[in-house]
Amino acid sequence: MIKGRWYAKGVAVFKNATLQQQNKDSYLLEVQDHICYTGKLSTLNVSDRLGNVERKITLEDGSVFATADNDAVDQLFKKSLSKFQFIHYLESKLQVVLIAIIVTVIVVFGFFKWGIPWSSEKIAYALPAKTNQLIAGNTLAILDKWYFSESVISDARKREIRQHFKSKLVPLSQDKNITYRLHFRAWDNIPNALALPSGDIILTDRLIELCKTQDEMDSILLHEMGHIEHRHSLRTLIEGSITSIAVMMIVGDSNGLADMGVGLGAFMVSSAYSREHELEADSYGFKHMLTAKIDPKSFSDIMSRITSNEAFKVPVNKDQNNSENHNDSSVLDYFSSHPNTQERMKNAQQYSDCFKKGMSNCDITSIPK
Amino acid sequence: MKSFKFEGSGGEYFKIWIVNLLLIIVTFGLYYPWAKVRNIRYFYANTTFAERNFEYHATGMQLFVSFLIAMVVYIIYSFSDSISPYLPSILLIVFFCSVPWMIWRSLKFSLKMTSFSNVHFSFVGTATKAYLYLFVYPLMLVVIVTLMVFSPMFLSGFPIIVSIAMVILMFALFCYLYALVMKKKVSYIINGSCYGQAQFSTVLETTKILIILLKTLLLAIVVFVVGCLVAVILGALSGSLSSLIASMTNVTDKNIVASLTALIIPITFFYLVIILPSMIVVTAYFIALKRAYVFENTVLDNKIHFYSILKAAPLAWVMVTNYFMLICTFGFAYPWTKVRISRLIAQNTLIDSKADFDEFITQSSKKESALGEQMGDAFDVDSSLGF
Repeated sequence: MIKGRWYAKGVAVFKNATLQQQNKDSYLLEVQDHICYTGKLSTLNVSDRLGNVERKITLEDGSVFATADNDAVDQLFKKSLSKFQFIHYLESKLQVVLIAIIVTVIVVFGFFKWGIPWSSEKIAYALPAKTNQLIAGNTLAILDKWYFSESVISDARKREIRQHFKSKLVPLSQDKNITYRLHFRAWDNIPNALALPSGDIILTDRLIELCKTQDEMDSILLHEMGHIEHRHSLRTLIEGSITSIAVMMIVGDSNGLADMGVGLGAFMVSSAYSREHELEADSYGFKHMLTAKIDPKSFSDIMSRITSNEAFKVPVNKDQNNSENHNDSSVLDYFSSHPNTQERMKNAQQYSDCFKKGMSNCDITSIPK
Repeated sequence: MKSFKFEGSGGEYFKIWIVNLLLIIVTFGLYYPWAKVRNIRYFYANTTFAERNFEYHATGMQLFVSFLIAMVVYIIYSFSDSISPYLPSILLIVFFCSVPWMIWRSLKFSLKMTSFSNVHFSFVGTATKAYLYLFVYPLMLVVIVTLMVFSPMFLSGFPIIVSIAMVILMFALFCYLYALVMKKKVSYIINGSCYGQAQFSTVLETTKILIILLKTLLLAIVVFVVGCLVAVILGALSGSLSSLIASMTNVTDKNIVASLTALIIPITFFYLVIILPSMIVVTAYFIALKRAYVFENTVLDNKIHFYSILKAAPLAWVMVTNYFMLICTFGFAYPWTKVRISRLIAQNTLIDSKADFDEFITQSSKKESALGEQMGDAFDVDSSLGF
């Protein structure tokens, strides 16, 4: 006999009532100072069990029997409870809860560390090559407007660089859909190279100045080609979208202030993805340098020169400490979009050892792909 | 006067929350609408008054279709700026124009899906009024603020005393208009809400809201000053202050980058431990004052009165400790934080104890789809008044 309250359809007033089973598949509902209901148990609509909240059983005429005695209701209706009863079962078993905690932590971590990059890669390659053209959009025009100024390199030198790029490096590319184009710009005193998904590669004057050998410039160009062939820009977009959606679903309807703290975490996650892309581009560069018979040490040389004080034409001050060379690994690495320079130089060194042995490919397990 | 009660517990809710999270993961997110319904139901059904409880009647299936549509819209938007620089702006304008509609739909749907003691709520406010109070009024406020910001061009000819007086006057006008917009919004939502056959009604004065805003502003200034003092003291003690000053006097491209990266840790610490909690405290103060005023002036069916005795200090305490609990547990303490706040709010919300709920009857109305609600949810636009 289940004690509870009975409400007529859509009204707030209630009367005390009791519900019990009658025969094998019928029920009897007695409402105090009112009528009795009887009928088949299967005509009753039982609300899903949720912790210990009041259970509501709706009769055919829309009236509702409400009771706090959840266990008795479960017992009475055990044959016809909805699938949510299984969910309640899971929610009440401590072992399931513990498993849920562990699985959640592992999956969430794994999803962000491997799941998102992996699926972004698959999606990026599945999309037509045209997509990459599309997303480059107006980037160069915007960069020209806000950051770059005209290059002061002579036309002859530009022709020379472009010719060498076309004859030696472009043939190494495996994706024949990509049309590579070299652009020259000046960007204050900043040595840098950028790759746009459309196939456009931009070199700054200062970078060209700093390259002591053609091999060094080639190593940078191959790294940039790696970004384009691996579709990193598109993958970054996809990764960002999936990350946002995932975070939105996990955090759900927080009170807004939590969102601000989440932003910090999201930034760290996207920085991590960026570092992976850089390492992948490095790898691409090293592999193709071996094929083209260029010593990967050149990459190491130009990288260390770029990150030194000399690069920015800053006078060397004996008070400045060497940590500005980004040589020391620190917690700051987790906020950085590029991997630690020492790490990259170490990878270059390993490939360089292979090169010196005359190998045309290298079996390094510490580097991705 | 009797208060509401919240009967749920953190431990019980944690089990529900974590298992539903697991199911969302296992179904690659498809289960989300059902999880959302279950989570909301837990809080509604555990909120009681005089042994009657609230209920949430939306189903996962209803939310699911709208959830899909919202996802598609979101994905299109994320990629839009790579297709054309004009597209995101166009989409954004379309989005802003549809926000009042989303809020209106969201109100209609969520109220319809909510019942207390077996009688459903409803929202009868019109979409037109939604646009007026939630779009036109705020837009006018933005226009006026823009005019104020550009007014220095006209002031440059005047003596300094006049300029200062004008600025103060403009600021006062801005505050008043902000209070007015807030009053219109809250009044629209409450006056359009119904319980069964009866309507809620509220009569608010702009000046009273203005006073609350000014008090909050004053607190914000005090908190800001204290926060800065604390930051300076901590900075001096840890030496980061001296390196900040050193780097600022030695300006080059390279130096700025290097010194700023070295300061990321103290800056992050400062942001997480001082700035965010301070903002929470000021927010709590505002919520407490606003709530007390609005509830005091709200009546149901011209007979039943409400009161909020929620004080700023206990609210701020719960909110700040919740925040730190979340950070320290990487979010796993979320169920307890939600239960704590629900319990605090319930205990501090009172209804006329002579209120007789027996006479209420659900009004019939056509079926509402969940589309606006899910769009609003996906883009984090909702009608919450901070109650």
